[in-house]
Amino acid sequence: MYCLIVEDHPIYKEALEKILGEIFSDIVIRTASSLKALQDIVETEKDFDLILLDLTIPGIHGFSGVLYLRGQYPNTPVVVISAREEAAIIQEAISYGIKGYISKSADKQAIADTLNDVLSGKCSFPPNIDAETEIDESYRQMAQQISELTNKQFQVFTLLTEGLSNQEIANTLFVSLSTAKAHVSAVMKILGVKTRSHVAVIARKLQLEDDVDI
Amino acid sequence: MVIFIAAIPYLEKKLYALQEEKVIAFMNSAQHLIENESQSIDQYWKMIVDEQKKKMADILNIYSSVLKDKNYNVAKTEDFFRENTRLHKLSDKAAFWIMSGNGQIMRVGAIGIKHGKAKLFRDYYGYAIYNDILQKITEAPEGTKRYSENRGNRITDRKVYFKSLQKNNLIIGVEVAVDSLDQELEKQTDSLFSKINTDLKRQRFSKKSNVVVIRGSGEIVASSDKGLRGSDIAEIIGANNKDRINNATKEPSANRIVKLEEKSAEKTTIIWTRHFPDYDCNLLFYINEDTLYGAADQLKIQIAIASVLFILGINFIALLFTGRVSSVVKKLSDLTAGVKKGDLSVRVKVERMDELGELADSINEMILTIEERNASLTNLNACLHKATEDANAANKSKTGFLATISHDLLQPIGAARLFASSIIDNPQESAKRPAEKIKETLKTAEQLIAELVEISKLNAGTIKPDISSFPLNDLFNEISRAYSAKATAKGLQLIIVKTTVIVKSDKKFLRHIINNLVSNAIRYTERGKVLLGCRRQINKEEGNISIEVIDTGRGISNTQKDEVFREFVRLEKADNNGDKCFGLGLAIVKGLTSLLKYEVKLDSKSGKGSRFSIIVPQAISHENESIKDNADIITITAKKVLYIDDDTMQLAYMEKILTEWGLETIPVASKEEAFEYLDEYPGELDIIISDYHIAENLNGVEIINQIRKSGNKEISAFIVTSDRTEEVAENIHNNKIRFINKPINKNELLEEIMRAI
Repeated sequence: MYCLIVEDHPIYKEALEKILGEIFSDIVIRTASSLKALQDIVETEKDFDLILLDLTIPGIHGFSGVLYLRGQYPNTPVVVISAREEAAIIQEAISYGIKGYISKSADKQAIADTLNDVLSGKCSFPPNIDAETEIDESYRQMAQQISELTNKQFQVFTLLTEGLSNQEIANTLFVSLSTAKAHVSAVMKILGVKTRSHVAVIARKLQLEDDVDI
Repeated sequence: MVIFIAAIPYLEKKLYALQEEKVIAFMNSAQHLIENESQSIDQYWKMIVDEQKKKMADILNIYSSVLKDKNYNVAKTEDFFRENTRLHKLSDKAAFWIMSGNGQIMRVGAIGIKHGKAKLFRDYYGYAIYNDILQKITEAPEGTKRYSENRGNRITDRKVYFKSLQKNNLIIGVEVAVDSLDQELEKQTDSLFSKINTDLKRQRFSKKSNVVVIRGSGEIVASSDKGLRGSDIAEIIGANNKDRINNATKEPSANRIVKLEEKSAEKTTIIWTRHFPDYDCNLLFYINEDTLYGAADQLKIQIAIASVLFILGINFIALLFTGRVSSVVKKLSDLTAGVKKGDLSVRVKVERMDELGELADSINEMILTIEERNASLTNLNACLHKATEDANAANKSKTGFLATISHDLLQPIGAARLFASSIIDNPQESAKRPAEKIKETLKTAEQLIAELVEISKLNAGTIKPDISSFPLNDLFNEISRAYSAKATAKGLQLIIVKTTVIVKSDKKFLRHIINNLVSNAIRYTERGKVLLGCRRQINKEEGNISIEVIDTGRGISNTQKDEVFREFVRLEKADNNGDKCFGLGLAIVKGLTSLLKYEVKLDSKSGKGSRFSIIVPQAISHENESIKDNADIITITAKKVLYIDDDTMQLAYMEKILTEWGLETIPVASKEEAFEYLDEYPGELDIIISDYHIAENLNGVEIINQIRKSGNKEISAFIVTSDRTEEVAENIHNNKIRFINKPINKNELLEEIMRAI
């Protein structure tokens, strides 16, 4: 079995690899801890059996990671693995098409159960979650549009959400200014917006609900 | 009476002295102000003077070398002089001249300066005496001289920088009026004095008094009376016009009071003066005698009235003795006795039209006032008392909270450490059990931290309910799934009564509340059943439903009923099989219900069981709802709105609202982006909404005006702003633009958009 783990916490990543190795004897694992590393893998690898994704990866805005991976690997189940246990977050992730949700406080058995369910084609979520939530049509459309972005366009999308100018995007991607401009207008066209601020607005919608300050 | 009359002259003296003290205090503060401000320009002055000196020296050097070279040929160098005088112009009022050794003025190379200037200088220092000049020059080959020029009312100090060319029998000089040494310096002093002016006006002693700051030359630099002239002042203080004001004011230098009698109006003006030799200025304060002492005279009159009243008081006693008013007085004295005892409800009823009647009325009024004040004070006192008690209780509960926390949190961690050391001691055999224990204890600590975080969030008030309508049965089903197994394992019957009720609440919070109540019920019930159900409220609570969790557990005694909702309160002997309990469950319930403003009821009998009920509002039928929130369901078709705000969060928020209303929103974060859009998609825009503060030097009004100027002349626009200063409101208003305040009220926004369309 070929599995992709997107997780930036080094110790948790190692623990997860070890446990997955114990659960599935035939597993081969690739790991990525940033958007850059993830995109390198996406460019070369085309057939994963399973993707495990943390929701907070540097360079990726909240749920846009889910949408991106769903777009790149439409046939591979994506399971979110996160320290966030709020029902609202899980529910939103479900609406973006994840097949399973594993809390970072879950034990080995729970992880094995969830992954076995997902691999056998079922969905697996915590008991208090209603997997049938319908999302707003506009969100569904937005999700669809983001999953349509190409690898490079997704990169431009994340740079736009950070407020970079065309020149800065060109510098970051090591491309010419006109190429960067072309990418930017392509992204805006796919997302159906007319200004770059609108891209940031969309990205904001995909952010995780902010933590409540205590 | 006699005492009063005798006291009047004494009081008068005292009151007058008080008025004068006020003036002195005022003068002191004004002096302080002038000295402070002057010091700051003193340094500047020095800098300018040094610079001027250097310039003068340069000019003199150049000319003397030229004269030497040209060897007496003064006429030929005329052009050169003229040019260079301009070149090295010290100020418009500077003069340049050459004088021969016998005192004859040979050339004046300055602008607008007549021969007279140099002549004046010559006369002043006696160079006119034939042949004397050579000797003078030998004595002082170069240097500075000062002389005064007296022209009409004004006396000008002039400063001459000169250099003698003994070989050529010539003396050259550059001279300048001291008070016009530099325009910049003048500006500087002007701003100083205008500051003094404003400050003096601000702390004006009275409307009928005047404060003046005047230079020694008679020039007024600051005055509270705009029409005042220097000559007026000279007249007021009795200085001859030609005398320098300084002479009139400098002695005595500290304070001086001059009394002037104006013959025409027979009024006396009193003047206080201060002289500041360092800054060549004088502070004058003058006030009409009547005005100054008028306030004191008023007091005098009041005292006189008081003595008359005193006499009246004696008459009153006389009347009392005659018995004519004894009944009234009796009533009044009863009344005051009552008031003394604290009975403020008493009133006296005297129906007389004379002074006694009035007296009675005013006493009644007085008591009423006292009563009202008393009531408000009592009320305030009670509030303070309550606040103190609350604070004490909060403190106490916090202390208890911390103690319990450290106990409950440290214990499992300590245990985990022990287990860990046991593993280290026995690395191979029997390591599995302690490792499991570690896992268990860590889980306990984790659970505690999670619950604590929740309590803190609730206490901090940072979480807000998200109200929606949903079938209550959804929650019941979830509870059933989550707790059936647990109840069965404990030998309990969990009964959940299905319902069709739709409630209006925060689903997450309500789930949490019911969860905690049910798990609590299961925990504290050893045998029998736990029931979850709901019933409609009929009487006063109509429209609400009561969700109830009933158990056949050990019950809660009356004394414990309030206790159980506190943090970390556990009833004794909770079962300890399986899950741990920290006594936070009901505290969370209490926090959540008070957040949702729900009532929690607890009925319980010790040993028989308990019933927790929460009263939750039922959802109103859908038609009613849609009428209520019309801002949420309205749709406006096919309008394009440009929204300008540099805050992405605001952009996102506005985009959400406008999109819900069916408007196409184009969010932009800067003026540049706005114009990028307008260039790309010209002429499709319907409305502009802009934040007020967009960038450092740019506001929404300016952007709107610029967009309108660039070919979108007729476009509707309005501002949203969180800046509530008048300045901003005025600026927007002056540009004939409407605005609404942030945080945005949906109805206001909708109204503005409708107006714009």
